[in-house]
Amino acid sequence: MAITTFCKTSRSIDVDEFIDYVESEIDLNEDDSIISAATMLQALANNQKILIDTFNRDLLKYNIEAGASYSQSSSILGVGKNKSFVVRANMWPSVAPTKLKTIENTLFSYELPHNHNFSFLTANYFGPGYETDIWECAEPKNLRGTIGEKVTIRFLERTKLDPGKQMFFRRQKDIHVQLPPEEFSMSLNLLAMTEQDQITDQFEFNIKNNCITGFPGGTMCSKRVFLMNIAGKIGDEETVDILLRIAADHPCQRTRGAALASAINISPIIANRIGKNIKDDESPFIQEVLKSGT
Amino acid sequence: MNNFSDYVKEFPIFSNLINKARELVQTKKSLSYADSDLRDLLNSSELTNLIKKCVSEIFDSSSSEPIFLHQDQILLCNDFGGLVVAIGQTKAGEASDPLYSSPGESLIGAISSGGFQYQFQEIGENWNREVFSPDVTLGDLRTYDCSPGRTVLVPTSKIFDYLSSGNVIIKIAAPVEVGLTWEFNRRTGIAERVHASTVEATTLSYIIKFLSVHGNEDSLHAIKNLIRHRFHYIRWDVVKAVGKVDPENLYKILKEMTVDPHPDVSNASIKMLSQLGVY
Repeated sequence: MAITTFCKTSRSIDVDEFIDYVESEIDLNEDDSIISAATMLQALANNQKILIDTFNRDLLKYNIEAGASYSQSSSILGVGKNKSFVVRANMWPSVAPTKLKTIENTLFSYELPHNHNFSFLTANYFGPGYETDIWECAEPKNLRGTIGEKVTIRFLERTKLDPGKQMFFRRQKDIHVQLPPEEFSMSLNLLAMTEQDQITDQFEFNIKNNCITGFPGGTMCSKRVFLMNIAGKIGDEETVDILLRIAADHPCQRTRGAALASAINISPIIANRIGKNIKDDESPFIQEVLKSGT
Repeated sequence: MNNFSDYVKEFPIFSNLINKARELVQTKKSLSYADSDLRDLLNSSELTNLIKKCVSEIFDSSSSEPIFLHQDQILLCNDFGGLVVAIGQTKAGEASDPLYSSPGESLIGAISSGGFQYQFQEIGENWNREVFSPDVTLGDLRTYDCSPGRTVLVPTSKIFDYLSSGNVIIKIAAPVEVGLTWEFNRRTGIAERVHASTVEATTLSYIIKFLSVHGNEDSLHAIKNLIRHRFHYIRWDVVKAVGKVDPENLYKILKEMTVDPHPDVSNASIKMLSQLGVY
């Protein structure tokens, strides 16, 4: 099963206290250490006044004229000062049964199997809680990370983020599908950020076929690849030079592959004079570009 | 000014376009008046140089998250509820995808060498975009080419859709003016349903409902602050929330809403008052 805890506490703490606790007590690189924050996360979840006050304040300052903006389906409650983490509250609206894909499905990634490139600890904050199906990906570090790649996936459980329950989702390893809750619910998250988040991918999966089907668009990798693609369509010779340097050196393999493809797209002749360092790159994204010539 | 548009400060034609479009938005004029400014940009080398600057930033700092990078777009101006300017790519809808109305006016310029293809579908002149009716159907369809360096103005009164994918465009979007985004069946042309036209409105709606259940003594005042919101469904959410939190004052707010400009709100208020035996 996924890592679930039922840490009970009658304490109720505020966001600053929780942030200070994580700063001083939690090693964000160690799963066990993050899981040990479950009691304090529950103590924060016991303080429902925080979110109510936040929403009250937001609505009061909301400018009813055009120009105002309120666009978060999650509310950032705090961030680490000396360590890289985020404390946020997420909304999970219920969805009326329909055969059509609803706007909620899109906004809240309901029914889309995916993993995350960061670990997070979550607790129920309001409402009955969302349901989630969880699978485990064996050896995620060994994945090449390409579309269609077969993945060894094992179903763990269907569970619900009930009140009083905390769950830990392991970076890359846990694949989950969020299902809409029966009533509007909110969860509280401690997101453990690392530099790896910026250079590793998240994946979307086909659970029936056990394979990777896509890359969520919101990750840094996907955003960079998008820029590389645009550059390949409207860049010039100077852009090619920069793209080739990215193709040679960038720590993200998908970014390297997209940069190389775009450089060749602008200037096909460079396909014949690509440096050894790029040719020796074992990334499937680079090798695929070299093989196809674009 | 915001950080996004500061990013293009060194590009005079681009900056001029943003300033012009901003002025048009502030004076509630059509973005069509920025058409020649957009063409000037499209026919200059600034967009190529701008992309070069963006790509250089990725090379210089491999693990940072540059401000302009967003999902499926390079965001170059975001006045948060006001003007938005972004570079993106066209995406043609699939046969099973619905067609959506445009809740705000936009001006689109073709950057990449192939330009792009698109279609407009007419809707009757009497189409009330703020009141859903399943009787609304799409009319004549016409397809067009937008050549590189050319532009197309997308009004809220027609249904626009790309017919080609992967073409690079620049889009200047005015603030949303219609509260509802309509969804049409692509095959039959029949209006199937409507959505809130902004994520912001969807989120506000959730928050109002949340506070009506879990809120405290301050929440009622906060909820009531949205009773004059420009979108009718937010105003109605406020009425429903007041009914839950402060039922003794429901009569008062319902009476006020009987003269709401949106017929769904005024009619529902009258109906509810009559059910309460006071209208």
